[in-house]
Amino acid sequence: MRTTRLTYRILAFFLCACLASQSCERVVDLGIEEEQSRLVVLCNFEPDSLFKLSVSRSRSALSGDPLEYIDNAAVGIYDGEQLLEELVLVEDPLLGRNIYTTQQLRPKEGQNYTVQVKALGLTDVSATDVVPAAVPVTSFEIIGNPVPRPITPDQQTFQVTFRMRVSFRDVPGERNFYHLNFFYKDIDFTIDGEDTLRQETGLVIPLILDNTPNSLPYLSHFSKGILVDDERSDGQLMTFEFEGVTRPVGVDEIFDFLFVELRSGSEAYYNYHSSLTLQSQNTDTVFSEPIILFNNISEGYGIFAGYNTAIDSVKSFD
Amino acid sequence: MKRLFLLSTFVCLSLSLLAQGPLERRVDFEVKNSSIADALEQLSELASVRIAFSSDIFPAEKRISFRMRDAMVKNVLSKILKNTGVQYRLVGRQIVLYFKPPPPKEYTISGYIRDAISGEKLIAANVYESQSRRGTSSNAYGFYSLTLQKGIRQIRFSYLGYQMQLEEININSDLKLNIDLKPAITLSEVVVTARPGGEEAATINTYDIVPERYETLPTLGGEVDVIRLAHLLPGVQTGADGVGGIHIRGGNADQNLVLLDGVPVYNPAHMAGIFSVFNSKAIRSARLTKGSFPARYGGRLSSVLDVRTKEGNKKSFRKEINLGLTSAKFTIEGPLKKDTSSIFLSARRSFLDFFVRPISERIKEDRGESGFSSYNFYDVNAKINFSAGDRNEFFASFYKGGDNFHNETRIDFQSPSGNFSFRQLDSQDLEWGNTVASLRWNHIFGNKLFSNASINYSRYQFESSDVFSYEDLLRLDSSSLREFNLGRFSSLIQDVSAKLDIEYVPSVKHYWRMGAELTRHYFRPGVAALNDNIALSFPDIAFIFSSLDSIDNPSIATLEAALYAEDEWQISDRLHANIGLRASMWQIGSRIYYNVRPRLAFSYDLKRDLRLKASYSSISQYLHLLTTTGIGLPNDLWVPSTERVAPQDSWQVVVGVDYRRKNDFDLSVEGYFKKLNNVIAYQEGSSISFINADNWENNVTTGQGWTYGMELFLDKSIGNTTGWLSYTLSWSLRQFNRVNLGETFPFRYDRRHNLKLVLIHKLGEKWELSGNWVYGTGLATTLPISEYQASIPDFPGRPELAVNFGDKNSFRLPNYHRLDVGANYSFGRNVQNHTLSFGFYNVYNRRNPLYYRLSRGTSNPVDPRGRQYIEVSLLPVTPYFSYSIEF
Repeated sequence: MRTTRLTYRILAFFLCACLASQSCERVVDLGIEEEQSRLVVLCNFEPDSLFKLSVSRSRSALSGDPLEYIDNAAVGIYDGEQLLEELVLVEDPLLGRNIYTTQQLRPKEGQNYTVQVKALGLTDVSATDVVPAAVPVTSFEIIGNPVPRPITPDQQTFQVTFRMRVSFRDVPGERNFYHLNFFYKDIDFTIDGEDTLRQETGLVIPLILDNTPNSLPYLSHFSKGILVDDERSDGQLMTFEFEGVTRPVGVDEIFDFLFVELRSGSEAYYNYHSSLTLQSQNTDTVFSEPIILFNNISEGYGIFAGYNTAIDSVKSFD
Repeated sequence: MKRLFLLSTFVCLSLSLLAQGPLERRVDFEVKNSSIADALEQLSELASVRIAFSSDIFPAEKRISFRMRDAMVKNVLSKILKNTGVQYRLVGRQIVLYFKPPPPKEYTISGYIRDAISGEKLIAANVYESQSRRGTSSNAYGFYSLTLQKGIRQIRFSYLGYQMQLEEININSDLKLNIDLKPAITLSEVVVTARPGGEEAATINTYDIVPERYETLPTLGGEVDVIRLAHLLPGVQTGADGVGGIHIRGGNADQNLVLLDGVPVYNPAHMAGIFSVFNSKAIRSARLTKGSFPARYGGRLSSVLDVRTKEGNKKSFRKEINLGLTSAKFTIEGPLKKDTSSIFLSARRSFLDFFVRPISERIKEDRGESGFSSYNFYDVNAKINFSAGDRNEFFASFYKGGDNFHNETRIDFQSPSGNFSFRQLDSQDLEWGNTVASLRWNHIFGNKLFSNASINYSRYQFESSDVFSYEDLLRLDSSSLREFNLGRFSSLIQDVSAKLDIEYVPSVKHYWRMGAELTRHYFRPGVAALNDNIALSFPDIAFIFSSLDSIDNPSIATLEAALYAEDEWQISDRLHANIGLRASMWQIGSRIYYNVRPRLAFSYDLKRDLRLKASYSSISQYLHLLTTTGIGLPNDLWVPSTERVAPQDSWQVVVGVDYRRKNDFDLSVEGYFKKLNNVIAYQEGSSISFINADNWENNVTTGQGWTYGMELFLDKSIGNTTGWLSYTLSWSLRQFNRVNLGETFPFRYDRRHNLKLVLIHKLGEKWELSGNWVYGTGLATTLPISEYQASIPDFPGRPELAVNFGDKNSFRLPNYHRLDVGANYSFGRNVQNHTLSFGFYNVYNRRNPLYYRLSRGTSNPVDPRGRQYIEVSLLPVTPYFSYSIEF
């Protein structure tokens, strides 16, 4: 990212410096009416899981108010006009806040679902999306040997770099969108005399991908996954090579398998995550054009989008 | 009964014959060695039609023999009268023959039209013969050719700013006639003219920009600028204070073909467009064509700005020095051999570094830093020409210009306790500029054929380098940390081309142009090279840079070829046309694109002072300019059409009307619609610093555009008070697959209304006062509306702050308006001429914003600053002053 900053910084400074004697800044009131808060609904759903939604409210760009989550909304999942299930509020221990979830209803592949959300003082919102068919991974392999690199002078902490190749065949004749995630399961081990004791911690840890080459046909998703559009390779075997890096690991941590998760996302899924990713990576200067964020929540903001998953794995060390 | 049948048959046949026109009656006709008169009498009897003629109009000795069966009378007549000069017409039911004498012989006069003082060729000078109402104009090289009937003719030669010259010539053979026009003592002509006289009568919306006059307009920093004058014409849009380049009729900045002596200039701007690369002292003429430009121009979709530089005084040496607040210029020109060859040299350098450096030093000192920033630009124009007889002229021209920016910041820090210190160097250098060169040979074949052959070179290069160095000198644990970051970014486009243009005047009704062009393009769309965390000491920086220099920078080579032909056709006294065709080819690797594009322009003189006009043009463009912001930064990348990135193309329809009130004003109104296809842009979020020859195609998205509108131009060109009013009503839209989520949005330079008023008043012989006021709807921009926390249950990744901008470019900056005033005072004799210019730019100090940004303040909820929009404007009221001396 350094050269990105370099160019923007140089150009920004150049323009500012050469015009410094004349240019000026001032606070202005643009007379733009501040937008009222809207409901924000965030939900990605897949066949293996319950519907889980986050409901909050937006704030005006000029507002310094804290961002609020809403715990008293009425949330329902519908098939057309028919209510399938009302969602209940539960605490999500990982997020550390409340979310809405179904208790029985799990999405089915190919079916359209509509969410309707009502909250006091805010305009009702709704959105509709579908779960696409899963696409299997045809091959997944590690290229060459993983490269551990000590990152502390005492050489007790490492990062391991893997070069991976993954292939899958795109479904022909339709626009398809994919989300590739690579991760490993964390395992602790201890030496007890001559025995090595291993214990899975249950943590699924994503590999960190280089987020700099954000160019078609793929986009790096927050450094942890890859978003792929089949626009230029309809029906073809899609093969990608990536380098992924583990988080810093100690000598007492091992991992024996790498996993690839291939998500087949709806178009809304792809548009939202790609635009959000690009927006988060966009340098906040006047010399970069803003990224327009996708939204499929009618009268509100956020995303309600389905995806389907296929998983493959490979042994990380021979 | 039998008689009755015969009579009936005769009557029917007669009626049948009468029912047909006499000329359409059919006969079996045969003559053998007959005189023409006998043949005509025979035909009269056979066809039962009276043919009136006098036999003395035919040569008595002429005999004819032929036979025709079931032929119409008119065909038989044509055969009989062939090669006699006799014609016929039907009067009632009688055919009357008459003798039409052959038209008088025609001869062609041709030559160059020149400045009598300097010998400079004059472009677009008018040549007019009033009796036959035939006229033409000199071409881009000062050559004219006019065919007239034999006899004594009065021919008028005229040119803006020069005394009209009337020549009475007895034309009885082809004639070579060079005309030397004397500059007018007083200048009261137009600044720009929307209709260039007799030449190219069907060309729509062409503006000749005359240097002698735009030098009278108010300037910025005393810098007379041809492109700043173009900003004042209808249909020409730009950003605040010129930043962002020029956008013609809603087109992109890369869709303007900017030519310097016929060679493309890829970045015609200094300081992001505040100044242009054209040194006014080197310019002889400039012509902006923004309607349907003729077939001889190609490769750009929106406009042609054809700038021609001075050739040099062939009579005597002249020198000129100009001093302004922002730059100084020196010009020298004169004969190498009187009336045969000349040299022209002009150089300009800005003074901006003298202002920027001390200011930046003081700012850094206030921050506890040391270092400075500096910026300057320069231009050099040179030209040599040589005449070899009347028919050959050779030229060599050269231009080099560039911008240089340097910034360095040093920090030497030592903690009060003395146990910690560090030093840091942060340095950036930017250089960019154009180099243009041309070798040209003009040759005249006979009196009607003019040729121009040239070999051309054009190069635009951008280079930036960055050094960041950090070094802990003393730490408690006695270990030290060193860090170096070095980066280099460069991009390049370079052309080598050969070109042949031919102009031929086959008759007074036609003016043909044809030509061919072959161009080799080289692109290096951007190379980033960096070296991080290298523990080297300061002196090794040079070594690292030298190693970066050796990095193999891949380039892309392409071949472009074009053939064109066009005919300026005077279809009738009132109807003119310019019909052309341009065929082009683009080859990159194994991919070849072909295009054959028509250009059609018509004008019809409804009255002597009222002209209707219409045009259709279809154009392809193989080059693209990738820009991140649309404000014309120097690191915007020129890239070629490739297998995956198709050429841009457009079609445009223009209709309009011109009204000219003699010796008073011209009014032009035009409506246009233009469709753009295959325009490209960075897809949203592309990281431009990682773009190079290998991957740039993955970072672009293809789209289309629609622009339409109406332009009005009212030009008062005669008298002590001159000027013009222009108004544009326009729309410009874009759609890209990967911008604004694929939805159509307003182009940044979509100004709904744009009004420009220019006034120049002459006070006696020495003073000229001028002013211009511009007004335009604010540019389209994008602002944040609202935001929320994007944290999706069961989804990888940390929460992100999502910002909702609404649709792209859905906001407008405030309307732009600005008033500039100026005055010129000229004094001195012929030996030494002095000019003082002074005035104010943006007189009433209007803060026209360049952009807005949202300041988010701090996270402290009691921060009184809170969140607010910050307006960044550029140039407040700015005085200017300049002095020039010519000797």
